[in-house]
Amino acid sequence: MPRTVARDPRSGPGIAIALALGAVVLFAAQPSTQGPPGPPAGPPPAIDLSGYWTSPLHEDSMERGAGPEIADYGGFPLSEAGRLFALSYDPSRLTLRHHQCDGYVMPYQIRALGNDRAWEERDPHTHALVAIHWYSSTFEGTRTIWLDGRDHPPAWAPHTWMGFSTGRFVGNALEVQTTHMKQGWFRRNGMPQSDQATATEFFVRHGEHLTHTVVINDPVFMTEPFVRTTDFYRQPVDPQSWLFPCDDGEQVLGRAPDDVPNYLFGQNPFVAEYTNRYKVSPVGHLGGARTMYPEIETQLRTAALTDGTGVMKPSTQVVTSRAASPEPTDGDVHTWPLRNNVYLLTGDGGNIVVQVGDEGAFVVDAGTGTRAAKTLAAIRQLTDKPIQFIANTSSLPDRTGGNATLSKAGADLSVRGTFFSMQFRDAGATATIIAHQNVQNRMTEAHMPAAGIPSDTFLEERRRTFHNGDAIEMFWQPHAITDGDSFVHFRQADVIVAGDVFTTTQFPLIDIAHGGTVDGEIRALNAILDLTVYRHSGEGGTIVVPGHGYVSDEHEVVEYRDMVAIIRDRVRALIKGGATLAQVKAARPTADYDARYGATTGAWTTDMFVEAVFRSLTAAPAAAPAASTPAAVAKPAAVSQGIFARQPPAAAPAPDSPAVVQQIAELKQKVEPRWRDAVHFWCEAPRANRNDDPVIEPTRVFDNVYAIGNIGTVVHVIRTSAGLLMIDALNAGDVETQLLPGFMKLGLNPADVKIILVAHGHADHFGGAAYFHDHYGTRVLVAMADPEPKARDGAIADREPVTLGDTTIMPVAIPGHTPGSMGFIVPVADRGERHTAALFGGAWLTPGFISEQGMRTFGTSVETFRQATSAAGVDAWMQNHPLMVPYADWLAAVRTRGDRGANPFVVGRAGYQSFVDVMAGCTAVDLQRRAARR
Amino acid sequence: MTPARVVAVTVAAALALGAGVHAQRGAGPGQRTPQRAAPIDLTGYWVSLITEDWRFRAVTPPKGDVTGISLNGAGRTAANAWDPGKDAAAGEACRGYGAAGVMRLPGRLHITWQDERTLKIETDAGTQTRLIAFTAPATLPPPEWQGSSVGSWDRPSPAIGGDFFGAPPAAGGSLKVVTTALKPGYIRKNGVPYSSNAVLTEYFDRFNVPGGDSILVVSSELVDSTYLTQPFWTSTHFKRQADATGWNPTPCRAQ
Repeated sequence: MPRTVARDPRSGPGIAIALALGAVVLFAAQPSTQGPPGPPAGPPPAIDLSGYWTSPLHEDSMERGAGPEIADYGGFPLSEAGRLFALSYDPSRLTLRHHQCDGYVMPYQIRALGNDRAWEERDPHTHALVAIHWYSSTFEGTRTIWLDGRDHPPAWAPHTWMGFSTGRFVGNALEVQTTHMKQGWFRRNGMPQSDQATATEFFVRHGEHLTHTVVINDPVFMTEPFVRTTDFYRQPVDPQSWLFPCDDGEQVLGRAPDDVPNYLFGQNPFVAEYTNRYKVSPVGHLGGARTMYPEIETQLRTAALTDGTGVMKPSTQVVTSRAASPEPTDGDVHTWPLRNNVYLLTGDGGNIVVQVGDEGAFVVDAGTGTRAAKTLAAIRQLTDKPIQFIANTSSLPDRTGGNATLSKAGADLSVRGTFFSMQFRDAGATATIIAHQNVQNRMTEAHMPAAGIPSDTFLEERRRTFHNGDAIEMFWQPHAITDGDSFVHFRQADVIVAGDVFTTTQFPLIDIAHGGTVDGEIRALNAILDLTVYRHSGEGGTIVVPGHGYVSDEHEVVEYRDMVAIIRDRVRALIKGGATLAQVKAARPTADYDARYGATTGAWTTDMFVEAVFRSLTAAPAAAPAASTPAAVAKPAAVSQGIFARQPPAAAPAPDSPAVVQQIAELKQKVEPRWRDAVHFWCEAPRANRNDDPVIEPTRVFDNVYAIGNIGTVVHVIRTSAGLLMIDALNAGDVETQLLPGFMKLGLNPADVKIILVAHGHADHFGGAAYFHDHYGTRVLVAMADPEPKARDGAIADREPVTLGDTTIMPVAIPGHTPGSMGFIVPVADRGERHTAALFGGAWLTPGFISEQGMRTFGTSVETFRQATSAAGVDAWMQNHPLMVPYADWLAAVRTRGDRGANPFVVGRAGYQSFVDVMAGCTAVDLQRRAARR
Repeated sequence: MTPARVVAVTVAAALALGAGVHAQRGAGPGQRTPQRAAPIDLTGYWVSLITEDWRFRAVTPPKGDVTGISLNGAGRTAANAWDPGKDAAAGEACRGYGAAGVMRLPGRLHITWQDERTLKIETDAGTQTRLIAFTAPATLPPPEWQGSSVGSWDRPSPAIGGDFFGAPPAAGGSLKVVTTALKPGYIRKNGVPYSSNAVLTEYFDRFNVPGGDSILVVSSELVDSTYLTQPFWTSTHFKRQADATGWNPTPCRAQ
């Protein structure tokens, strides 16, 4: 300062004296809150954090080193939601591609082992402190603590691992406020920190000892603030270890995309392990606010190791969302830049995205229309060009409500000057509205104003256009929350507009009545994830705009996908256990998410969501995804008619006549001993296959044939030189639980399945085929005579061989059970010895389901099959409903037979014909009974 | 005088005056007692929040579990020889309640000024009392569970100050406490030892959290070449209570 004064041309003795005296006064009377020029936010810097810091692992060393024990939650003020979330967490979730590189949220990051570095950012002119940057080597977590007095971003701004931090100096400490963190964990054993958490921190330095204190408020997963303190020692030299690269990869091959590892409520197997290993009662180690306080010591002295497990299942309390609204409440429409020339507009009841450029605005979704004028004004702030296109991600009113107003204010200049403008005076006078055909159908059905109904529709999976210098794609997601959902991808900007398939505000609005399904919703979320690429540590990169809520990236979509899949799993398990809808609701399968998304009022409640999942899982298997035509909105799957129509089970049968009893006895004598049980089953005690039939141990039954499924229904996988061929595909719901795990156990890759032969058109045979078709491009072949499944890639015809690589399979038409039922003759080998196997793919199990005429047809088919198998020299047995034999025992015999043991499935030529005798004989018995009832 | 001389003289005067003012502001002995000089108020009831090392604090861990503590061979041997029954029989049930262990135990603190120069910290765990004097004793007293503690108010400050470009005094402050003359005790109740050579240095900070809570953080360093291979650092936190709710003095318990 003195030198500056001396050089100032205006300076003179008087000025110099005044300044110097001023300095004296300032220096002498300096209060503790004044000093060098500082930021406008508060007192000047009290401490210098710059330098290298490392935290000793003297506290919580196991957690911060090798990792915490599962079910070790002691000392955490977990809410019920937090505890249930943690108990549901299966660490295998980290093997999922989209979780492998998950970073740490700020409070956990600063507690992690590794090196840290802090440095200041100062204004180059005033040297006022603008920010402190803090870098942590683990996951390369980088945060900025702003000290220049700026505000926190709005509620709709993106969340990051580190969140958004502002600071001020208070006393000898730096106090920091952090918001906008992603969902992460309090501890690496699944204990969650929600995206609603905020934190207050204090950094205080005592020489080379830095102490960090964090107070976390999480309204979702905690009932009280959580406090943690961490020590750092100063490193005098650069520790040099700073990087933490991570790329995801394939850790579990062949896993279904909707398989999210989780434990059902009450079934986490590691709770007892922790209890018993450390002799600490669950009263303490399952956490809760009271475990933070000294009284827990006394409680644990008297608690039994069996106490406290009641909290492993949901209570009966009703919980609703404690999340803050991420949308404006001031009545205005706000603009938030996304990337390049793409912007978010929020405030009209649903997120709107606008791309601007020379060609005119491209708008995705139009909000509710309540504030359409403000939306238009916001767009005009971005561009003086008209709106040319409006794309709708669904027919829901929060997507389409503003269509008419926005469209009328726009124009499609690409139409003017074309042939159309010669024919139609109004051509191009409004913006063109684009959507999947089903959106148009639904809006037409609902008698929406014509001006707001999409006029430019598409039927198949993808619509594309190049606009304003960017490639824009629309991807139809069949049967997600409706039958007309699409998401939009701006490829260069790398912004995905998800529509209501993904929100950060509510459980997915699965509209069963309009074609929504829970599995379709999961597929849609996975389809988004197929396109996203994170920038680093699982965050950044592709921007995903939800239908409602804050600007997201793939992490938020993954968490949402996980939630839907986990709740789906719970509901499915409850259904499998026989629960009714009311019982499912009472079990609260959403309990760990209710505090984040739950609602008891409004347009979409928790009850409605659970009911949608329930109905989605209990409905007849949906037809494979298909676009409805403009003339016909998707209708329920057709029911087969005519002689093959299903009939209700017959009333309790009358006692058999002596003739029938005699007939059965003779049949038992006639057939080989191995089939006597089969005679009993078919003639005397038939039963249908059931959902709860015990799952079989996946087994290689021949050198080239594998069996997967359950004792009621089995899939045969045939290995060829050109990939795998499968006969049948189980129910859709069995894919994740039986089929894919079976592939894994057998070391087979489901992606290698090239062809599925559907033995007949019932869902327990074709339900899983759509999955293979959709994920692996598997060709699904079905006989023409069966109307289901509709989605198929070709037909199976009588005696027209199907060849894959070195294997040729001969279909034999066996109508009866259904019109298109097929048997198959399959070349197999056992220990290298060639055999010929046959699979009668249309066997009835309960005769009451088949009409008498159908049964006669069946009898004829049995004889046809007898001739075909006899001619082919069939000597080995395969069956897709093997209930008539002790199937599990047979499989066990194959697996354990050693080098010399016989294969029970190699039955010999006479043996196979004896099996045909069983079917023929019991069919005759059934017809005899029917005749007796007339 | 030329303008340059005016400046030089004035600056010199300013430096002299400034230095004098600094000297007057110092809390010299006899002028401001430690209580009056306190930059922070630590008094009141504080409850420990057991959110770290929970398994080692909420329950007494098994013998030999020394996770996180860098013991040398002698330390491990001593930890493995822990016999709570023997401690109790020898009248040393308070080994886990010495100054280097008691602050980490579940419990409450009651902090008061015993007089203007002595801060008193009472713990209900083990019914212990720590007295923090602000003047070092002329001679060390015999070893006790709580040893001999000397406090001072600590602020960030340069090694050499007072010149024209020196940083201004920092705001706020911490209580620094150095404790020696400790009877051998336990860092953790399961017999993880510290010796009579141990020196415990602690910093007490109080943070007021927006919304109302106040947090007391005790950052500590235990140096004990007899049993430890490196300094042992912990930071333990307490939440302020409005009253004595939950205050429950209990005797020392060896197990």
